[in-house]
Amino acid sequence: MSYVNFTNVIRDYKQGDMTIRALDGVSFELEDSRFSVIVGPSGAGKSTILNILGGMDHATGGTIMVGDRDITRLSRRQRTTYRRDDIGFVFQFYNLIQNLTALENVELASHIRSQAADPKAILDEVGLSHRLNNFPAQLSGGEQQRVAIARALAKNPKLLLCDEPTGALDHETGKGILMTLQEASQKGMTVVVITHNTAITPMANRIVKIKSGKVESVIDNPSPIPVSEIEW
Amino acid sequence: MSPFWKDIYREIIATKNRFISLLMISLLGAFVVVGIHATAIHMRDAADAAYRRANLYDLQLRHPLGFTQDDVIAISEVYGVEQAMPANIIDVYVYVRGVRRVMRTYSYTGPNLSSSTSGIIDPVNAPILLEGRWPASRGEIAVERRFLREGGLAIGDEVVLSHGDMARFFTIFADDTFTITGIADSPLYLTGERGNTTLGDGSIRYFAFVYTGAFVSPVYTDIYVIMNGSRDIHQVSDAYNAAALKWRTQMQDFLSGGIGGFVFTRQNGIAFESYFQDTLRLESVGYVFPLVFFLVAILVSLTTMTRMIEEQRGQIGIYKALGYRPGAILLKYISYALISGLAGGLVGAALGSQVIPRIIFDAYGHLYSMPESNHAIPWRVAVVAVLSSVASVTVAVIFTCITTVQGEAANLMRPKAPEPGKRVLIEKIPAIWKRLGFISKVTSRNIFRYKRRFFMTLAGVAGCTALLVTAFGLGDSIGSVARLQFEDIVTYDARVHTRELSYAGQAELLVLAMQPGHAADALFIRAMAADAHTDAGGFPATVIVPEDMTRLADFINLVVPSFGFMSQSRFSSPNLMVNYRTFTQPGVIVTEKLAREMGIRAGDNFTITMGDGWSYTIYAAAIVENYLLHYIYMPPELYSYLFGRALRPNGLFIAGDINTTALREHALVLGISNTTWMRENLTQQTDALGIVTIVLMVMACILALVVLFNLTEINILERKCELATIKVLGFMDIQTAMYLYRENMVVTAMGIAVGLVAGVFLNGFILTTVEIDMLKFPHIIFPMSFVLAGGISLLFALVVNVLTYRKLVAIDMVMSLKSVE
Repeated sequence: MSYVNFTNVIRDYKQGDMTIRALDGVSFELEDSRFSVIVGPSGAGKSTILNILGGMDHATGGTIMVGDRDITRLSRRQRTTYRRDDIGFVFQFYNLIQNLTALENVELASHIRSQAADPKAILDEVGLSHRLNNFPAQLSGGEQQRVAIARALAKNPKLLLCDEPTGALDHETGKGILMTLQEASQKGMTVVVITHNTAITPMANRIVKIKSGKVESVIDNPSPIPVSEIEW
Repeated sequence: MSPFWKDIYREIIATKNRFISLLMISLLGAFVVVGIHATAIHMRDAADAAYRRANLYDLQLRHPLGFTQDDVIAISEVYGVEQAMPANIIDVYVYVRGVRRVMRTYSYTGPNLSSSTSGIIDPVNAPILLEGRWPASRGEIAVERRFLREGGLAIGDEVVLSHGDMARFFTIFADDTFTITGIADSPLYLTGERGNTTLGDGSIRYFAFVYTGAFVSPVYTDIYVIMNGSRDIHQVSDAYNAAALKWRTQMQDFLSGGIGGFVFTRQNGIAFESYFQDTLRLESVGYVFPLVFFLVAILVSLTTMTRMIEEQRGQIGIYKALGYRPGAILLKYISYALISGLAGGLVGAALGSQVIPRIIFDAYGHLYSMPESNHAIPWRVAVVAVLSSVASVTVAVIFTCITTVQGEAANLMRPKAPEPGKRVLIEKIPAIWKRLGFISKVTSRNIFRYKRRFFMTLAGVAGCTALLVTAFGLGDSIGSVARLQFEDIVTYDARVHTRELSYAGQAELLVLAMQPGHAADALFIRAMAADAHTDAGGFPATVIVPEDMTRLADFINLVVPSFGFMSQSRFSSPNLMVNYRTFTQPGVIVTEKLAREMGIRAGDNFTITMGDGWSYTIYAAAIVENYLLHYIYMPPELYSYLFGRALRPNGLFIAGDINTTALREHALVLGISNTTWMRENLTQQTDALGIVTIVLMVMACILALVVLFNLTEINILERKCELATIKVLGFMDIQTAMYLYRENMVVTAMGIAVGLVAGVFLNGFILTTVEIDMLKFPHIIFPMSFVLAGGISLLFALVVNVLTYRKLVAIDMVMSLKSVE
């Protein structure tokens, strides 16, 4: 069943007198509880898709349905609530609060969400139960990204959106992160990963290819490969 | 324009908020310091010009029996005397709408009555005719405008002068009825002060000029003298005062050689001296206060420029990669700072020298009728102020840039690693830490994370709060002097000046004063002018000898001096009273300021020199609080021992309702000083300094706003990424704002606390600096002043937070998260 539905989404950015069209009629669907990858070269507009889907940015035209809700119609305040309750974000550079420990970073998320998961349990799930009281600076890149994933998951979001989650990590560590994300989707989380790395597409249920602000193709993968078997 | 200047120009345009805040801070510092000094200089220059124009006297010679024409000639031939002008100065009564007032009459002398060795004959203290004409015959008088206004009189009307002793009056004046011929002003009253008299209630209400022929006495009461070289010196300066003292000694030596009489300088005419002292006080405020401004300016510049360099790391890296030397790169930032400091300093100095003197001079206007003159720019102070502005900003830049511009280009182009998180002290106290909510924990850790900014904000807020406390406190102290002196210290209601009293005279006056329904209590005293001195110098004081020392405390509160700054009524505690009833040693009680000036404590000896030239070494048994003038309270037994005669009083203190009418008419009574009236007089005098306080207060407020705005903005800029992250997590706008504001508020509160304490010390320091010899400012800060100072700082912090809220809301999550912090 389709959970996310982009219909003819347009995003224009005004720069002085010029208008730059980042998304030029993007339409695709993403399935519930599946692992989807949006792939494309830099500047294709995939981050814009993620930002709009995550309620950080808004579309200029078209409709985006998440569940039975049209998120293009949300007010500023509603979008904040939407981010808080429905969305978990994971970034390339983790964006942890440096001054908070791993546990506290997760608590920061659970603090504002009424139906939050137990922060310690979530950190345990991503394999960091022994690093609860460490500050980000004391953690490796992979560990930091796990904290970021835990922070996103702690809110019990409907969508987990990841923007180049392995971009700043080495091969092995990246694999570990992808494994964690795949596990999450297997437990029922709807995961969307953005990447320019086509090598990881075999692990996804659905692959949306973006080029120059347009959808080039949507490919369904009936039998995703476990991350451990992927090499790039 | 070269690319270098283009770059700087664009930088300024792009960061105009930052540039303006740096500029504003330099501007404020220069504005205050230059403005206050300009005012002081302006006041002195105005007086100098006025004194010269009026040909104001250098020495005033006075003889109880009067000077003869021969005396005048002898004095005009004394070495160094340029001009000697005899005059008659007589205090008389006039009735204005049924009320008896004291008028000081001066003989109006044309130039022909002035003796001069040089031949130039300008009248000394030349009065100015405002309307009508000068009196030209016996029955004519020129009066001041105030007299006509209050009396509802006009030129051509008649006025009757009188005296308690009319027989004596007619030995001086030919007639008692005068026709008003004109309205005149006198340079002797330029400073607005009218001085005291032994007549009536002790205060001179009006002055007037009587045709010299109206005086029938063969002698002159006074001779005004102008000395050679006097006009080569600035008339309102230390140099002049020093010269005047020298002339006085010289003239005294001459007079004691035969003629006799007293010699006074302008400094003895309290009005001239207090005007000069006012300008000096103003200047000392002008040194201390701006110092805090500059300290805060340096702090803010440091923070601002640190932020700027952080932002420009990449740029600096590129310049370095292109082959620019560190010095060349540094030059850009130094120029940026230099331009803001220089522009701010110059504008501040220019505005300050024009605006502040006008404000203060206007305020002083009702006290001093000085003519307006050009607003001079105090160049030396202005240069120092502008240089300080420039230096404080520039030094801050060099300090923050030097390590960055020396870094490796490659390093600089990479983003700086975020500052690692750290545990704070209170985490080690689980009892507290566990109790804190999650957000409180975050807040407390964030506060101490950016130590530098934490201290900057703390110091900035503390500095502004301290300035506010000081300004309010100054107002409190200045406003309290009169109340403390005439409510808490002086408890008598009037002091009556009399001739030397015999027992019979004492009894007579006592009966008069204590008539039913009048005074409850009275104490006879002998008051004597003396010079109290130690190695530290000599100070004019009044020795008061009560007929009974044990009863002195019923008329004057003898309390141990204290430096409490909060208490409004410090006299509730009886053990603070100096108990003279158990006081047996043959010493005197000295007022605090005098003791401090002489550098003595209770138990030390010092010397008093009496009017007749004899000196006595006496023992200070106790020190008591006092705010106005210097007093020495001496037991009658000691008086008899020292002077070898029994005490004969020349006045009395009265507590209770004063039988003014009866007392005034009595032949033995010379005058009555009413406590209420003296209090009003003092209040008026201290009002002027209050205006300066208000100017300083406004400046402190503006500074507080600029500092807080700047620091809050920097805080937001520095933490854009962090704030964007929590926005992404779904923090509402107000929650995001509170995330930051909670920290701001805690630091602001800490800053305010520090500032309130620091303000007490700054206030104490400034008070001691601005004090004049004869007046002591109580170290008092009312609780309300603390509340106001703290409240204003807090209010400003809130205002700034509200103003920056839009910036916070406008943070673009997508842009902020693209790069690492």
